[in-house]
Amino acid sequence: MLNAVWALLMLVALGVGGAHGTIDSVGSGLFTQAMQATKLAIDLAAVTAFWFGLSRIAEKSGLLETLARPLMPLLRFLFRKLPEGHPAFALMAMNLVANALGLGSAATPFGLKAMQELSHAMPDKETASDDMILFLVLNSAALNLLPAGTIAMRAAAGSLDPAGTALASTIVTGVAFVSALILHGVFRRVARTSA
Amino acid sequence: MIQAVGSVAGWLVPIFVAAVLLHGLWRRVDLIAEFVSGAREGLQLSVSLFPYLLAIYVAVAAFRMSGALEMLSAWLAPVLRPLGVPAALLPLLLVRPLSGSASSGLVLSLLHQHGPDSFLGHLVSTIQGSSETTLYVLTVYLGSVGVRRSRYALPLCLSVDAIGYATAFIVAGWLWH
Repeated sequence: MLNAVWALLMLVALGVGGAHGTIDSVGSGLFTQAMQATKLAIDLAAVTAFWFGLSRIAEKSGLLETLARPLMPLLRFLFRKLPEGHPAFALMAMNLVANALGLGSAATPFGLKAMQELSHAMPDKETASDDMILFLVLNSAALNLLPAGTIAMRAAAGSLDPAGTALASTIVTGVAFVSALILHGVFRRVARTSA
Repeated sequence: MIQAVGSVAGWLVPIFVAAVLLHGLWRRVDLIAEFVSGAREGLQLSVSLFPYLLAIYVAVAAFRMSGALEMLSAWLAPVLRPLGVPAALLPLLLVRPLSGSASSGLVLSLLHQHGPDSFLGHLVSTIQGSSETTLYVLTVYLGSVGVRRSRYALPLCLSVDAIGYATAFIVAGWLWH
């Protein structure tokens, strides 16, 4: 899919360039843009490395675990079918907190372990359970308080206010989070009646 | 309004960094050793992402410089103009759920081309900061536990993504237009 999107962009660009007499600027532009991308990548790598270093400290100090605790009542309410004290709860909470703080590298391992625990709770291992799908949609609509990657990119592009869109992103993810809960209820009901 | 939002957000990062360091110090974490090993991992990730960044950056730049983007925008303008959606945003909306590295490359090139502090720059930053690589998350998470039938997971997640994009557009219009 991505392969097709990329090939389409390149070939249409070269085709249109040939047809419209802009092929010279397309040709020379390929290399200047490649150099531009490399300069940006170096700036971006610096910020990413810094953020990963910081997230490792937060993980080792137990800060992530502490931050996950307030989420537990919400998760217990959302995943009512899971027995109290199920190991998936703490893992899901840590995944959501790490996501909220923009620490994607810390979030993924917790998320994968949470999926394993949810999978153990189901008899049919090859079919996604309602709980798994709820966790996935909450994860992909994850409440985001600090979009670190975006802040890094804005800084690399020379923004005067790199963190300026953080609050807007938080509002959007808040709306998405609530929509995810509502739509999950709708989709689950439709799936059940049609099955 | 905009200045207030900006200054609050500007404090977020320094406060978070200070909190992480102080908590680590209190819990007797070897700060520099953990930071270095985490940073090394981040650097490795950046290196492995670079070829994707290069590929998408060059392709998008070529698409733009050839005049193809202008043609596409001209075709789509009658549909998009009544909604107030900039045509330059379309590739990002199409690529965002598919690939994190590709959408990062697109966002970077849009930020460079239009300026990070323009309306479009704010809008793409908001979208990028509030959305996930849905297809990647679904594939990796479900794949890791051997699930083959994902049932309603994909349509559900993509619907939520669409709601998120629309909300980002409304919020950005309210804050920066």
